Amino acid sequence: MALKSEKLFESMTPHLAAVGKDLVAKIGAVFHFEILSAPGAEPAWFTVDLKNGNGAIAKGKQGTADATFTLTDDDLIAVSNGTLNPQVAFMQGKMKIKGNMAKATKFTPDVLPKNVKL
Amino acid sequence: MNPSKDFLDSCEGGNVFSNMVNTLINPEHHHQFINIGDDHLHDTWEEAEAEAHLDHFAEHWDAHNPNLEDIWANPESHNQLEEAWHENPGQLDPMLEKEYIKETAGSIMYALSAQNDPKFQNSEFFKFVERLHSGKAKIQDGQVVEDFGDVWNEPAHKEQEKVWNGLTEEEKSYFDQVWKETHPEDEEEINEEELLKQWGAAWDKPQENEILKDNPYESTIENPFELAQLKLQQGHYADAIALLEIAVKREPENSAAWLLYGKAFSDVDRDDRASFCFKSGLAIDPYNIDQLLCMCTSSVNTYDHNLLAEYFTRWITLNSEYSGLIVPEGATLEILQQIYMTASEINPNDPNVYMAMGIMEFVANNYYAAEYYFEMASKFKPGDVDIINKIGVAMTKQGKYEEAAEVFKACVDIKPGFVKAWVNLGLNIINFEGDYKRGIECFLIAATVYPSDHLFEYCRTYLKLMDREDLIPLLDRKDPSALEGEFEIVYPLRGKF
Repeated sequence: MALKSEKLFESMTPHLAAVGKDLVAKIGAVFHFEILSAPGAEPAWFTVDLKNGNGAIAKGKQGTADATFTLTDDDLIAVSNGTLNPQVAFMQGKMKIKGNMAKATKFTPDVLPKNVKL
Repeated sequence: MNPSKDFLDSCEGGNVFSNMVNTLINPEHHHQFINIGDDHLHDTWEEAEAEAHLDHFAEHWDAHNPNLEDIWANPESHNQLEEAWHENPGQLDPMLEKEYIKETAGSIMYALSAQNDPKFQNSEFFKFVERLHSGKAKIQDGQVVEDFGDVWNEPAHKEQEKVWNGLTEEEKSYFDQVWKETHPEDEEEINEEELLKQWGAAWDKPQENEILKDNPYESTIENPFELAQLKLQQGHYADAIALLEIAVKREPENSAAWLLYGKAFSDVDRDDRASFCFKSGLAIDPYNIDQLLCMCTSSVNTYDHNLLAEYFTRWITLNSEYSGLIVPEGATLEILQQIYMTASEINPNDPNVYMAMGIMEFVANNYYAAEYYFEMASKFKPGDVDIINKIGVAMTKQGKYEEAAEVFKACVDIKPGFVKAWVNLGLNIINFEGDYKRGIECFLIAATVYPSDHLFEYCRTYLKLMDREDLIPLLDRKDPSALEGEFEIVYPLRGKF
């Protein structure tokens, strides 16, 4: 089963085309996401670069991350839908963070794609 | 000549002591040691202390430590350590371990300083070992912990403190400023706990719309369901949702009420809540095909694709008009697309089949085809803003922003309170023209109809991006009219009763 997160990351690209430059100015960090389809499963990697140029989204690990988030597919979608607070997820151990904590906390709702809806 | 090798050679090879020294001396391990500690703390320490502490070192050394030969010559302490290590490798008695590290560090320092090479004595490693030895840095659970304890009581610091206290506020703030400018990272790393707290707050969305705190209607109101239908037709979503909340509470087994409740939430751009309502309705009545189709839309909007194939399978299987079609078990969306194609040949006038086909193409990222099928659906259900909005979304996804804007505007012309189209119009404007101001205006207009938290969240993001963070306190009042001075807000529902 394809990861739901993949759709989420895909939908960030057109958003970045429009607001990427301004987001880069505010965020200034590269995030890696290590997404697990289930706890302990083989991870899929995504890179959200909000540090360079107009920002970029890519599959896989690109460049050096300022912070790496490890969480399940369902949990990332819950974060994106506003039903899971990533800080709470971190405290509960549902999400792991590696890297610079100050940069990690730059991952805020501002970063999420604001998508037109059917 | 390699001094560390020379030093190692002077130790008997193979015993614990020399292994420990080896660990500390090996540049690779040394790197690890430094890294597991707090680099920032380390640097700060270095700046404040490097000079003064080198002098202290000499005194400490004489007072505190015999020379290397002396330690080495004491076989008793030596054996003691060795035994403890073998009994419980890596977990020496804490006190013993502490002394052990201090002693070892001391020996290394001695060896290094004996080389009389400034390159070593000024190296990061030397300073690190020096702090280990003096007890100002400790290794606890594999982490380097710095101890500033005594330093502040030392005369040099007392002196500095006096000077600092004698400064005027102006001078102090000047120094603070200079420090901040030259150490930008310090501020960020100061308090992780505080950072985490702020981070949590940034994501915290009070779920106050889940259950209305102040439902304007009496829970005893007659026929809330019928009244809600009327309110929905007029576009009074806040009223409709309040009434439906009473309706489903009173009749939790009423699948039609759940369907309408879900549709209301979907129209106000709250697909998360809509999904919940449709699921509740389907739990009561699994054969409600309208509910199934609505569920498909909300699933796509909330990135919850896993059950889509199952919903589409159930929709076509339960629809008596297409009972001749057989859906293989576990059919994928690709197979279902073929089956729906056949259904559209059986009845070419069914808007719902086109809608389903449009959604499937949309999920497969075929936005051109999706637009086509939504257009077809609209042809057989003219004026339905839910379908027209879908056409606009398919256009936006193809980058046809100008056309999409016209479509979203058409939606709100037909139904001025249609929040979802206002939000889509705002995002479309931002994505197309980068015009944050007009985008925010759309979100605020949407919030006058139904003040969801996510609308204010969108405004917050774009206020930041347009460098108008000064307006955030006004935004936090969660009253769109508070921002009227800065933004042009229309009230779609004003004067409509």
